[in-house]
Amino acid sequence: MRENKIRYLLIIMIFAAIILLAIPTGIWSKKNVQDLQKRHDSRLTPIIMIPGSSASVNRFDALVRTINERTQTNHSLLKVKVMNDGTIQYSGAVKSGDLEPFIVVGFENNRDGYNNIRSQAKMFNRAFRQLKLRYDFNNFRGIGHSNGGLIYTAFLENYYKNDNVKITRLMTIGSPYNFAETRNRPTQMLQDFIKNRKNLPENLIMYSVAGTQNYVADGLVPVSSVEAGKFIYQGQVKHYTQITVTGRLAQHSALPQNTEVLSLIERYILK
Amino acid sequence: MNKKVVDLLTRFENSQFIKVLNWSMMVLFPVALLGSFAWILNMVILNPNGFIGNMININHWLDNLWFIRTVIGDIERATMRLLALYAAVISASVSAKIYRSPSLLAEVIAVVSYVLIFFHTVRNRRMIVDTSYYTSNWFIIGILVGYVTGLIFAKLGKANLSERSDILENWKPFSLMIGLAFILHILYAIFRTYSLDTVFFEGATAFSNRHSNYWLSLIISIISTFSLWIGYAGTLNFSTNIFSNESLANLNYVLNHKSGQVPYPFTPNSLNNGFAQVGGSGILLGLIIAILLISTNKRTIKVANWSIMPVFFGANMPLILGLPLILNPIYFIPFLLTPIINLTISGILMALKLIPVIVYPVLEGTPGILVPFVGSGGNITMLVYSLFLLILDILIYLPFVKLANQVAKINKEVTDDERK
Repeated sequence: MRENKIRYLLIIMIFAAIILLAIPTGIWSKKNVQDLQKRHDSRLTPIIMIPGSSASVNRFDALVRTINERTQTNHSLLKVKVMNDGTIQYSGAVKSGDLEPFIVVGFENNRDGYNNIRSQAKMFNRAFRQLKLRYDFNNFRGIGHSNGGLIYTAFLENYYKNDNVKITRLMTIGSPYNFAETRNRPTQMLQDFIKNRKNLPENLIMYSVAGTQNYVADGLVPVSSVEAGKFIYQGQVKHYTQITVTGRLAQHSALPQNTEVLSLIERYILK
Repeated sequence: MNKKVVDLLTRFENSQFIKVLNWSMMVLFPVALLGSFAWILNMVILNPNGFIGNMININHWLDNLWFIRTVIGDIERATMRLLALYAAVISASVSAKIYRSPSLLAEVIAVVSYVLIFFHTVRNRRMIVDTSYYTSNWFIIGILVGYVTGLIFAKLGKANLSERSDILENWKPFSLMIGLAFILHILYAIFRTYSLDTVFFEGATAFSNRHSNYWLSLIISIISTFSLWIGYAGTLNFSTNIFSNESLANLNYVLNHKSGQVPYPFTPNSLNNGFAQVGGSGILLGLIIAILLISTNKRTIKVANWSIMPVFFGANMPLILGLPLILNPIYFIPFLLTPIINLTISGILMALKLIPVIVYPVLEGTPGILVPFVGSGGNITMLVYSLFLLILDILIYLPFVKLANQVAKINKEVTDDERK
């Protein structure tokens, strides 16, 4: 008889657990629906930029200023710096009503090398998640200068998968996909990028811009290293376009000020 | 109840293979239970995207979450994800015992054979063994390999030898079993080298590679419950991209229009996960409650008590092994019938627009009974409706639990007679 009592008690407990769990679950799902709706309705399309190694979050100040002057617009500029301990510092702001703000994500650890790029991609993911929660956008566009393009690639391959926030366009500027190596000597990083290319989003429109001062390099990065990006992106993303810029200010570090690069950004990355 | 049916069931349960199977399942019950509790901790409670972990914001106040999750997840990996190997050992040991020729060598050879058959390295420069064939999904294959090993040792081996001569005298069954396993290994290697497995899976995918409708969802549900009943516990890989895209299209439609008919109301992702998975395939939450209500078998009740929590969160392996349920004719009908009935009623009500379509995503490890509630954005009607379905399923299970009581009683009498 006592045993029977325990059995009925267990059945009552199952139903009690269902009802009790239903209360927080109900609140959660109402909020979940609201969040989904809010994100879906958002018309914000930020342009998230990553500077190269040794550069700070101020790397693109001139670029944004020039673009605003040239296009007679007033895109706002938010700078996000991820510290080594994972904390995130903000400066600047996204002005209300601005549907195309520039957001620069920089890192306290801005050193070169594959290991640093991997940890920067992880840090970028952290910052990206916070930005997503703060600004509730459902799509964004990317610009990566030099190593910034490598960080973007590592992020897209390792962290971006199944994200409900879509990257629609990406432009990498002078990004050395094979570091300073020639084509027949693939680095570990390039091999890893090629191995994981299946994770890249299929609807991405991608532009890789190379600069040259002579016929082989932009003063720092060999053109062949930039062109190695085709082994990663070509055939996997929707469109992969390779552009080579020459002439004045085609030197590696000057590329973000190059007028041709600026007009490429205006034409392909801005709406 | 019809005496003939009970007789037939008793005879079936006393056949050698079923005896080996049942015995092995009962031995492995605690192992599966341990694995399931580890899974709940890792995926439901400590997972930031898990049902409980998300609601209590686990990643905001618990440091070293990934480390804790990894070490706890290892318990699941060591139990559930290698269960087929353990099944091979136990089933060899049990079948050797049933044929009255216990042999330590048979147990080792069973597991060696099983590993050998499916051993293959992933084509990569590093050595990575594909362990997907050793998981609980392949449980019944492990049992079969162990049974055949035990049988070969019983027929060809010499029993009751001292341990030392056991190894030297039993070279005949030893080489036969290893040879057999090696042939299977070669066949499987050929199968893989010519990528026949992908051809096969592409064929299966092509079958389901069309937009879903109600009947497709129903067929998928029946196939996965049936394969679970025969011991292939992994639901078949039907969840192709098409179905997740359908769910996404449904969600986008609702977010865009707020009302109206979504494009794919009967997509398996919402229909099957919402109404056919209450306590895992076969609505095992209903079975547990039916057992608690009327079972007279002490062991069954104990198994049910231990399995309540895993089954509640959809981990049904402990109950399936503990009862045992695989190839158990008593529960065959309700096990297949309850999901069909749930899907039929829900399909009709959906077509009549009396209940909403499940469109919103749910958290990992959400109890099956709450999935329609969450998936409809917190619609109370859906909660009441799920409870109604659960009670209906309990009622379907009740007569079969009663039948199990009778069979157990007769079995007990038979063994008592044998003892006398």
